[in-house]
Amino acid sequence: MSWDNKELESMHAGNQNKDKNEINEELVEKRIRQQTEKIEVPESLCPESIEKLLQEKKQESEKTGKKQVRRKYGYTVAVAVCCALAVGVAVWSRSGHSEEKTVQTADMAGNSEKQKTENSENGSAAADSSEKYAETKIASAKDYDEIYQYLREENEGNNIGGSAGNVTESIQYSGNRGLASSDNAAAAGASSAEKAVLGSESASAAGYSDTNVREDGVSEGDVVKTDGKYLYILNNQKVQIVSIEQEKMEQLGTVRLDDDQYISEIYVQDGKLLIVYTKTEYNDGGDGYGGMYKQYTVAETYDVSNPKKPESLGKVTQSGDFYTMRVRGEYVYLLSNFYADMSAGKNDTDAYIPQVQGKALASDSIYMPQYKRGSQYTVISSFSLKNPDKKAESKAIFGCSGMVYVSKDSIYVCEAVFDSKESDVTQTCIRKITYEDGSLEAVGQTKVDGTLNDSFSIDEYEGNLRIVTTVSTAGNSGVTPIIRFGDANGIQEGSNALYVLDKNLKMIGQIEGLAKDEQIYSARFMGEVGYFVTYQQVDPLFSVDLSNPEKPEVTGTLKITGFSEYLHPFGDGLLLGIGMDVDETGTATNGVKLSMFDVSNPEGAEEIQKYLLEDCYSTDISHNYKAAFIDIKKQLIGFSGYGQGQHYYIFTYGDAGFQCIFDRELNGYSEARGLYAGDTFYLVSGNTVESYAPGNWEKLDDIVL
Amino acid sequence: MYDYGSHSEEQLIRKAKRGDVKAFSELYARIYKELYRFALYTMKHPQDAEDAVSETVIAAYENIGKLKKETSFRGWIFKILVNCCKKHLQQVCRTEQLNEEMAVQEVSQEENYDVREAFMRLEEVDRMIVSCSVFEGYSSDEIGEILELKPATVRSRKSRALEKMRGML
Repeated sequence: MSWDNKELESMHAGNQNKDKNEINEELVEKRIRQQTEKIEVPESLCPESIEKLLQEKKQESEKTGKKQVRRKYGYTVAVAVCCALAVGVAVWSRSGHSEEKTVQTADMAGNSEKQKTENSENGSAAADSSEKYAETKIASAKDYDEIYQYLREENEGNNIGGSAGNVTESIQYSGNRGLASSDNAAAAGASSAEKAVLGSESASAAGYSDTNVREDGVSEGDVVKTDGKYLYILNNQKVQIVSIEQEKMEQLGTVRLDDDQYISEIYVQDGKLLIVYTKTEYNDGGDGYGGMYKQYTVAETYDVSNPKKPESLGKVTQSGDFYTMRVRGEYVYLLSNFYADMSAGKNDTDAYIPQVQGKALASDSIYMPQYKRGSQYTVISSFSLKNPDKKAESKAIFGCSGMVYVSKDSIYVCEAVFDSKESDVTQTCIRKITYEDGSLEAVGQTKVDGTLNDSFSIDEYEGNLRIVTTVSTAGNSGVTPIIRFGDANGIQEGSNALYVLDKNLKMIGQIEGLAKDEQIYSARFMGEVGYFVTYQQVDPLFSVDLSNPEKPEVTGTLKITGFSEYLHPFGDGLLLGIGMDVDETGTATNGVKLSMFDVSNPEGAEEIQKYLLEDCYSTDISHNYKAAFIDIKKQLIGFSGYGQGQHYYIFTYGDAGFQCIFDRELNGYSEARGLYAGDTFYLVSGNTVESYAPGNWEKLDDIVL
Repeated sequence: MYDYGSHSEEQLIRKAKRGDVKAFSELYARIYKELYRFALYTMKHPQDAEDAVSETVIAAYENIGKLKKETSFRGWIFKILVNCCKKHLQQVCRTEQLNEEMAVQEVSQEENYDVREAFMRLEEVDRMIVSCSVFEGYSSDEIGEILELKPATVRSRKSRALEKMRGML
């Protein structure tokens, strides 16, 4: 076939503004369309065949009445306002059970019907929507058989829709892997924001900076640690100890692990170095087939009183991938996610019951979910740094492992679920385990509408739990993870909610229907005040007065362009926001933006300073709060960002606003950390450490490990 | 056989959301040829195209409750389809890529091909780009979003692909 010159000419004539290439392209497109107009669609795809297929599917699902519990993806959301939320609690006891597993209850929405799963025989989960789960008890497994039943249930659920899978799964929380824990802010116990300051405060008192943590007073591991005298640096398969006692840095000891051990985090306290790694073992199944990989999380403690010769003091191991760790006092709390082998035989308990120190957890230490299926566990073990070869206590939360938030005395395991038979919005199941000096005790569980953005969306203060969620219909669940763009499904009507639960997880206060069609990008609770940022085109920063937990009240909304992805209290009535600036049309990002909000007026916040890093399109802080170096006394803010390569930036904040005082391009891409010890600033990235004199920011020394 | 033929799309979507299979089928009937055409020119084998469409239609049926705007069924289901195709292609691409490249070299520019053959001479990602553009009228920005490519990349790949096809058609 040849190209018709006339056709070309006429197109040229009619499109004088277009260049020749564009016209050629249009022509080719037109030709393709013409030639593909007639196609034969296979019989199986004709509407009649499809109608039949769907009818069959419909009947089949009506017959089995499977519950659909689906996964919600981190990115989505925003959708229709919830229908009444019903969560309640009910005292739960199962005969033949020890008291330990009982627990909490409350009736949250004035709605206390029994949850279907309990009465479960009613087979058709066709559940009339008015019947909502009402209770909120937490119960441990009767026996392994019960767990096995849940696994089977999960398995069948998966198979039913074929690839469409009705699966219960946890949300992939977009953010902060370190998730769980601490909040410098809420911390303080102070009623006002200005007192609620920083983890790094305590650090700077000690003369060195510590990892930016979720909850002040609850320590976390990271990739770089210091005790003021030494830097401990995670560098691939090694942990290296560098002396910083002299201006000239010196590499002392190294702990090297085997290649099948993947180090996630390190932690240093009282002359002890804790290395947490995931070890993968292949079990060939004995007979050469049916082999599988098993993963264990190991917390191995080293004596580093002689930093040239670290010596292992023992380890604690448990099933699953490392998730996070916390340290309070001398006790370490190790959390991992264990995926049960869905194809395991009933007698093969090793494949679906988590182990700690090589021994399967007893069924009464395993807590069952609020729905009747499950495939994953959040395994929690505690141990003392004084006896690092013995576990103190272990529990496993069965269901679909989710995000964890750790306050000063409780561990909250939160999983996002969507169950179309019970609610048309995504929900968050919350289970609460209290901890103290190594002991772990389940308190209760509940369910609220909406999903969490990250661990800053949930916060404990004076015994109450405050939560902000984005409530949406189950947008992107199910089937293929499809559609996460555009208006078709990705962005739907939605709203946001704030809930206050008491120490027994009974709901005592709530605000719903906030910021329609937007979703939460960041949140921070600071004592009796909460702030959160939603985003669609402009970024409202909401201020919420929580001084009366039963009557939380929105006191202000501040609209500015762009959005903050991370909020951090910055002393004296100030709140720092780090996020993105977006142009007025809401379509293009202009770069990374720092904002300083004056939050001293309870009636609402005001943006008093901002700074735009134009050639930088993202920062590590947006997904990991530990990447932030924030020192309020020194008025410094440091983080690495990506533009042309990876840079580490340091800003000062003062009367003149933000000023970039340090901008260093890093070699390659790595987790970079900035920290202080004494009067020196250290920048660790990959296998290099550089030291700088603050003030003039001149380089003092560097060392390649 | 469709007594729903005269209903508006909006009415049909509302019925479909309540589980009305007939209403859903009518929605499907209005666009199934386009769906198949898109899949046919994107996927290497007609069988894969058939699979992608049926997977799409089941996914759409199960998820129609989540379709919020009651006027945008077409755009919505197309996005599902694009993702299905993408998923299938990712599964097969490793084994097929090499063959494709070799085949392209053998082709002499003067020969004429039918359109499907011409499509198959393109790399899979280019097939997606051209299909999205030609059959669905998506802009480079929209395509970029769907395929996770920069709009500029989409534009340049599209130009090159169309230029290549011009030589073949």
